[in-house]
Amino acid sequence: MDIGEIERIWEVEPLEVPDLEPAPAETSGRSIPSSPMSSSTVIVTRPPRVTLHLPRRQGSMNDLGKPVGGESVWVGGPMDGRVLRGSTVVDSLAGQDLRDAEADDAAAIGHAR
Amino acid sequence: MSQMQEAQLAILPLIAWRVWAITTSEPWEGVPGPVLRGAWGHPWPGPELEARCLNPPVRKSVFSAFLFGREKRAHQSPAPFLSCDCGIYARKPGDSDDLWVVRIAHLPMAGGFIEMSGVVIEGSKGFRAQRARLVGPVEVWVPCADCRSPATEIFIRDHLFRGRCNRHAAGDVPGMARDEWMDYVVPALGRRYRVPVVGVEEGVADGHR
Repeated sequence: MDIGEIERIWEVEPLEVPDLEPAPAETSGRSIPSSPMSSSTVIVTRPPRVTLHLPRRQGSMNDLGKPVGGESVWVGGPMDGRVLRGSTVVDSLAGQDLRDAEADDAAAIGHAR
Repeated sequence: MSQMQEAQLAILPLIAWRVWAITTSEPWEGVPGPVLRGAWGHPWPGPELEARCLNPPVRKSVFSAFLFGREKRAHQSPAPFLSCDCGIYARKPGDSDDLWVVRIAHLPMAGGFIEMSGVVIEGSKGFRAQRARLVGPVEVWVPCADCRSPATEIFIRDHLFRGRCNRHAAGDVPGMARDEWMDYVVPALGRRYRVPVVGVEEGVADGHR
């Protein structure tokens, strides 16, 4: 089995599926109305948070005009455009043939998580 | 990368397509009934799955390395691991290099979409993901175990479902008509994986004959 040449490493936080089960009838000693408009029917969703780690050789510009994979690593932000976190994945893997990368990559991935 | 491209990346979930073999479940695999399995037999007990490396421990024998290829090491770090081949596999649209499909192509098959999360390694042909969730719809089809044309009958051999067409029908092993088998398997898979499941005559991946 082969997925071909490695192009990107994503870190994706899954979209949370709201629990549609009705809330318990009693919480903290208070009775909660079980009508269809009760708070248990409120569905709160949020977009998945995606972080994209690009190999340095695929460099491009970020929002601030800085090159991707340079000293400041580009990090894909969530929906509001904020930078989530930095990553050493790109730096640690830059210039390597990812298919032949050795065990140290585990630490890199772990750091990215 | 432009701001618009970045926004698209953030909005779109990572969805990819893959296939499974449909087999019976073992008693220790939870809910009885038909179950989807990956190309190496790993079951999907439910709609979500988290990968872990199943590679065997270090094989020190040169002979075993010759037989099984390069030595592999089991690792405790989360799958997928860059220098390993572990992870949940899915393919990109248009990729025709599905050797892993050929491996199970003689069994009843299912094809469907998964949403990948966690660490996802994207290659030029497909993905290796840490976590996956079936998002459906799932297509089910049964190729003849001998010629891979659409099967008309399903029987069980070695605890596995197998299809056969009219041309390769063998009278000595009792079988079940395809429609009857579909009536049993399609709703059972729908209940297990909570996605729409539909039986089709011939699957997308069935071109690998």
